[in-house]
Amino acid sequence: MTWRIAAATLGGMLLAAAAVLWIFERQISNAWFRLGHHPGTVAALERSLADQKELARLDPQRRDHYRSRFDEIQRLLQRLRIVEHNRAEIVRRYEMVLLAAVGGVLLAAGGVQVARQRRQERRLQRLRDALVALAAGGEGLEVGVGGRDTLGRIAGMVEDISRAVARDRRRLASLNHLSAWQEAARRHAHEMKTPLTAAHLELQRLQRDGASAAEVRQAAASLAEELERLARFTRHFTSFARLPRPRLGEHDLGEAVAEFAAAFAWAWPGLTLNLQTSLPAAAPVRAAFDREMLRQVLVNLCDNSARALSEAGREGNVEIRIMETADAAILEVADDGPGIPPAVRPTLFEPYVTTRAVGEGMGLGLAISRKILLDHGGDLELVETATPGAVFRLTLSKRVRQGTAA
Amino acid sequence: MRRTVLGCLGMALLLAARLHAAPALEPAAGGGVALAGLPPLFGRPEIREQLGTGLTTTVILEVKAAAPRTGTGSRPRGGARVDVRYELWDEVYLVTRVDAAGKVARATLPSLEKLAEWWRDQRIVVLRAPGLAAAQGPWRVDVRLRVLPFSQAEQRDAQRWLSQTLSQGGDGGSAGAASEASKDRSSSFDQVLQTLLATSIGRPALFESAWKLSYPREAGR
Repeated sequence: MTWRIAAATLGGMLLAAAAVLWIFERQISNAWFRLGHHPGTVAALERSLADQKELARLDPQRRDHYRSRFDEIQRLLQRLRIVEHNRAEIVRRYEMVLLAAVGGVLLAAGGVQVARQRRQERRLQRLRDALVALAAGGEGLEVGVGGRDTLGRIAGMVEDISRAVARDRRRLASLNHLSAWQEAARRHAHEMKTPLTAAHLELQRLQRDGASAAEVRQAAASLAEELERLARFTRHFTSFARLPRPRLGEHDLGEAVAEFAAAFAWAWPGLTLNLQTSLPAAAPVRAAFDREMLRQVLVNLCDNSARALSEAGREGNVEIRIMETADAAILEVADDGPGIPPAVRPTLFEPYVTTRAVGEGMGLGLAISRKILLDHGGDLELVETATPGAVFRLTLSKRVRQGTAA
Repeated sequence: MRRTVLGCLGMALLLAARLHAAPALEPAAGGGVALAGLPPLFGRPEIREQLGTGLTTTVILEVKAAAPRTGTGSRPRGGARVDVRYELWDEVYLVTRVDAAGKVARATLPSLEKLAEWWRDQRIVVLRAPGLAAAQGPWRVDVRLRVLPFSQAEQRDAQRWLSQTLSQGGDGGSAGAASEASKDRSSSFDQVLQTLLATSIGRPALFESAWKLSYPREAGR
């Protein structure tokens, strides 16, 4: 399209130049030609010839002188007549030379314009790429569009913005990091403080004089319970910190899910587990996974659904759907509970993110689940749906890949 | 008045008829072929006017022969040239005739009438082909006559003068040191332009005519 516009512009310019040239030539240069060959000039020269002859007749002694002048004038007159005889051809050639010169200049100008246009397009493309990269979160971009023109200035602005974005992002990340640590510290402190406080009170009770043997036993039992609570907290924490690598094997995914549904159907009163598959029964979906770890993920998801339904004060269903694509097996775990609040969704899989109150959970379940799926070479995502409830999608590779097997 | 107009018209028609009347090819001495009965060129106004300028009016005769029955073999070519220049100072016509045999004849004629008479009486050898008459059957001979307004020498002189005039914008009368100096001053584009314009001076014919003749002349023609 650009070439067509350039060619049309160039053609138009050439036509316009030819028209201007034609007018100029006809009205001005040809007029000068006519002036140079004015009939009066020829007539004057002819009279001068006759005068030289008359002078020679009247002054015979200087005859040679007049003859010489006569010859000179005659030669000039003859040359003028020869040029006049060829006027049309001379004018035609003059026009052609002028037209060729103007055409050459226009062609050169057109060539320069086309080259400039292509350079501008390349620069625009670079700028477009840089803007796309900036929109995608690119940092410290070098657009590579020099110059002091508008494009160059815009490119400079894009680079400035990308540097500013990078700076702000680093600050934000740092703040988020600090905020996450603060939240973690708050939850750790609470998790530890509660059993420690209880244990401290029990010890105070034991230190009082006159505690009966029964009271001592009760206090010891209470202390043991609080210590167990601390131990459980530590195990949770450790399980996140030292999550083992999955031992991958290729298994029938439907069979594994069915086993899970059968084994855990009783685990959450008020929650009904349904297993659905969109595939023919004769075509099992095989995938590469660690059976125990997949079970852990499903337990986490079902546990979250049960808690959400319980908080909503009603019973509900969890459907586990099995699907597959060309190179992946997919499990969707969908409940009909209250769903995930929009504010929580962006950070749902980050550690210590939970909708529950402090002391009701560490917010590590989904973080651990996603880490497990990532270690499988797959992923765990929250699916946006128009219906109420939460839908989580687990993606698993169909085959064990290098770098994912333990 | 009416008679006068009719008389003028009749004269003009007679002149036109004579002008287009075909010349004749005749055997010449030495086995050549001569052209006689040439049309009255010098009665034409444009040629008379051109003669008055003092430039050399050149009449070119070109002849091509071919045997129509065989259509093959040699195709003799020939021609002749007649230069006529009116000497303005002496008011005489200087005529130079060069025929196909290379023979040069010169004449000085005092008036246009004498020039017309001289032209009418001309019998110019235009072909030197001894075998032409001996061939079987008549030859087909194409004769072309052109009247050029000036000679080659005058053409070259005018080209040089125009080029010098364009280059220095002054008198191009002498092609001496001024010309050399101007060459140094002018750019290559100027030189190209000057050459292009100067070489646009040609010698377009003032008058042209052509005939297809037979030699020897066929009976009834």
